[in-house]
Amino acid sequence: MSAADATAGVVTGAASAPWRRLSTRFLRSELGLVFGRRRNQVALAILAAVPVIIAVAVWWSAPPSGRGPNLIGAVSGNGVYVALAALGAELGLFLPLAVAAVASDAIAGEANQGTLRYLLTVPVGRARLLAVKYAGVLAYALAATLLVAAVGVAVGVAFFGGGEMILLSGSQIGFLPALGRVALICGYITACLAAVGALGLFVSTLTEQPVGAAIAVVVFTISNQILGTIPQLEPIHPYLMTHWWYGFGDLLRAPIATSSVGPGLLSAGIYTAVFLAAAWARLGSRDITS
Amino acid sequence: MSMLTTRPWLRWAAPASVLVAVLAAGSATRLLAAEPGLPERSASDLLVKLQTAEVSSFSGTVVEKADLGLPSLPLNTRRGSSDLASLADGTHTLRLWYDGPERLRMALMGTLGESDVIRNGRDLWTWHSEENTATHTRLPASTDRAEKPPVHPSGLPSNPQEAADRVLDALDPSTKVTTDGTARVAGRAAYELVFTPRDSQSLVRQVRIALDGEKFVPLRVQVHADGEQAPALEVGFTQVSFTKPDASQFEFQPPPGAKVTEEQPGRSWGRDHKGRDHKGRDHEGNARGGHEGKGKGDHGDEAKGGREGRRGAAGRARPVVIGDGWTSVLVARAPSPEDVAARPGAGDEHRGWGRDGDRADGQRTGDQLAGVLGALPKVSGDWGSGRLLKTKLFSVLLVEDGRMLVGAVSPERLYEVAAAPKAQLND
Repeated sequence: MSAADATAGVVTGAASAPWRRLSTRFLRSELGLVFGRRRNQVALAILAAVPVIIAVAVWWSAPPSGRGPNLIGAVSGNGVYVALAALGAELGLFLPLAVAAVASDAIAGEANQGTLRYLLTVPVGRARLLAVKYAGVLAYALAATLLVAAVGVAVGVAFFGGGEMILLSGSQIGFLPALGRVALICGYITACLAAVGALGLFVSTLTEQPVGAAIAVVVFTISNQILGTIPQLEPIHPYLMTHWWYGFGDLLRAPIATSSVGPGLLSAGIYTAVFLAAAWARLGSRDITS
Repeated sequence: MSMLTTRPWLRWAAPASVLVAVLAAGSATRLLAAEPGLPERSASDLLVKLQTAEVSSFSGTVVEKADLGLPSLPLNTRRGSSDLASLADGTHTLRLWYDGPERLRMALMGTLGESDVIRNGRDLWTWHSEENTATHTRLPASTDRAEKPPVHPSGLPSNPQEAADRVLDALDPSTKVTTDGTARVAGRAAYELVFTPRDSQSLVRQVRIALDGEKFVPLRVQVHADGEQAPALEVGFTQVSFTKPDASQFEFQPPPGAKVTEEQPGRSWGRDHKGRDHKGRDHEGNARGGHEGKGKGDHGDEAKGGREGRRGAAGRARPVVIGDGWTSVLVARAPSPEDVAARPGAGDEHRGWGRDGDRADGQRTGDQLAGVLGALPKVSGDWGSGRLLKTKLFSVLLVEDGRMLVGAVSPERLYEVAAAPKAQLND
C-alpha cells in the first residue's frame, strides 16, 4: 500500500465517509491506517530482523555440536529452520508485544487522539467498528508472522541451503512440504496471537491510554508464561492463554500430531470469543466522551 | 437492539454467556462420558475377556500423568522435555503405533522435541531429537522366537475362565477385585476393573483398569493413593484406533548429521522400555533374558565397566523382600553417590537411553544424586538414622549404614522393617 493511499485512509477512516452497507472501504481504510503507521512499520522491521540475526549468528559460530537448543541447533542443517527458530524466539515477547500495541491502539488510540467520537459519527454501528478494528489487528498479526517466516526462509536458504528438512520424529520431508509445514505453523501462531489481539481490543475499550492498554496486555501475557513455569500450578496450566503456544512442534512431526495443536486452537478460540464479546459489551455500553 | 440501547449493561450477558457455554460444553462432554451403556459384566468375566483379548495392531495417543508428590528436587527440572527420565513427574504425551510385537513405535513428545523407540523386525532404533542422536541395535534372531508371549506352558489352566478364577483366587488374600460400572476412555465405552488392597497399611488405595468395551484391552490404568481423590498415577489413551498402522511408521533412517551409536543387543533398552508399550511384559521378559545370557561377554568397555560397577554395589549382599502382597518391602544395598559418579556411563541411567555416557556425565549425575540425597529430610529412630523419600505411592528409606528400603507403605512401616533382624543384610 502506498503512502498516498495510507494518508487517504487516515483521513477517511478517522473523519468522514458516507457509509454503504458491506462496503469494504472502512476495512481498507483501517488496514491502511494499521500498516501505514510508522511505528507499526518499524515494529515489523524489528520482527523481520530477528531471523537475519539468528542466521548470521549461527553461520558465524562454529557448527553446532548437536546439543544446541532444539530449533536453533537444527538451523545449520536446513535453512527453513531459521524461520522456525525466529518464530519460536519471537513468540515469547516480540510477536505478542507487536499485536498488543496495534490492538491497544484500536480504540484507546482513537479515544486518546479525540477521534473516536468522530469515528462514531460515521453511520456505522459500534459492532461493525469493532469488527473492522479487529480485522485490522488480525491482518497485522498474520502479516507479522508471515513476514518473520518469509524472511527466515529466505535468509536461511541463502545461508544454509534448502533441501530436505528433518522433522522432530527423525524423518525427512522435501522443501515444498517443509514450506507447507511452515505455513501451517504461521497459521497456528496467528490463531494464538488472535487471542492476544482480542484481549488487546477489550482492554483498549476500557481506557483512553493506548500505552496503558498495551502494557496491560503484555503484563497479562508474561504473567501467563510465568505461571506456566511454576510446577505447583500445574492443574491450571492448560487454561493459561500461553500454555499451548509452543505446541506448534506438533506440526513438525510425522505424521502431524494434534495433541497440543488441537487444544491450542480451542483455547485460542475461547479466549478470542470471550474477549471479543467483552469488548463489544464494553464499547456498546460506554459513553464516548473523547 | 433497543433493549440493549436502553439497558446497555445487558450487553455484558454476551461475554458471560460465551463463558457459560464453554463451561457447559465442557461438563456436558463429561456427563455424556459417564453413560457408555454397556451390558453388565462380573469381575471374573472381565478377567477372562482381558486374557483372551486379541489385538494385532493399534495406534493412538497416550497421556501419562504422574502426581506422586515428589519433593522438588534438583533433578526435577526438565518439564516439557521429551526425555524419558522425566516421565516420573508431570504430564506427558506419547504416541504409539503397534503392529505385532515385531513392529512397534513409541514417540514421547516434548514441547519442541521427541524421543522415539522404533522396532521393525530385528532392527531396534532409538531417536532423540533434542540431542540429534540415534542408537541402533540389531536384535539377535533368537529373541524373535522368544518374543512370543509364554501363553500356555504346561500346567496352566486350560480355559480362560479357569485362569481368571485362579487369578482371582491368587489375588484374593491380598486384593479385592471388583467392577465399578463403566467409563468412557478415548471416546470409547469401557469397563472398569478395580483392584483394592485388603491391607490397609498399603499406600495404594486402589488400582483401576479400564477395559475397552469391545476389544477388552486396557485403555487406562489409574493408581489411587491413600486419601487422595485424583489418581497419583494415570496412563491412558486419549485417542486410539485399532486399524493397522501404516508400514512406513516403523521405518526409521537416522537423518543426516545425527550421531548414530551402534549398540550390542541386551544392553540397556529393556529397562527403559519395560511397561511403556502395550505389550510391555513380553519385552521386559525378553530383555531380561538378554541381560542374563549375553550381558557378560560382548559389551563395549564402557558398558562393561558400568555393569561391573553395578554388580559390585549390589553384590555385597543379596536384596531381601520382607512382608508380602501390597505391603512388601525391598531391602537392598544402595549405591553411594561416589559409586555413581565413578561409574562410567552413569549419564545413561538418569537421562534417557542410548547416549554414551562420559566421565563428566557420570560425575554430574553423581553430584546431582548427592544433591538430591542432601535435600531429603533426615530421619532417625531405634533402627538407626538415614534419609527418607516419601511420595504418595511409595516410600524410600536410605539408612546411613548403606541399606535402602523401598515399599508402597508408610515410612513408619519402613522403620519397623529396618529394625527387623532379617533386614540387616549381614551376609
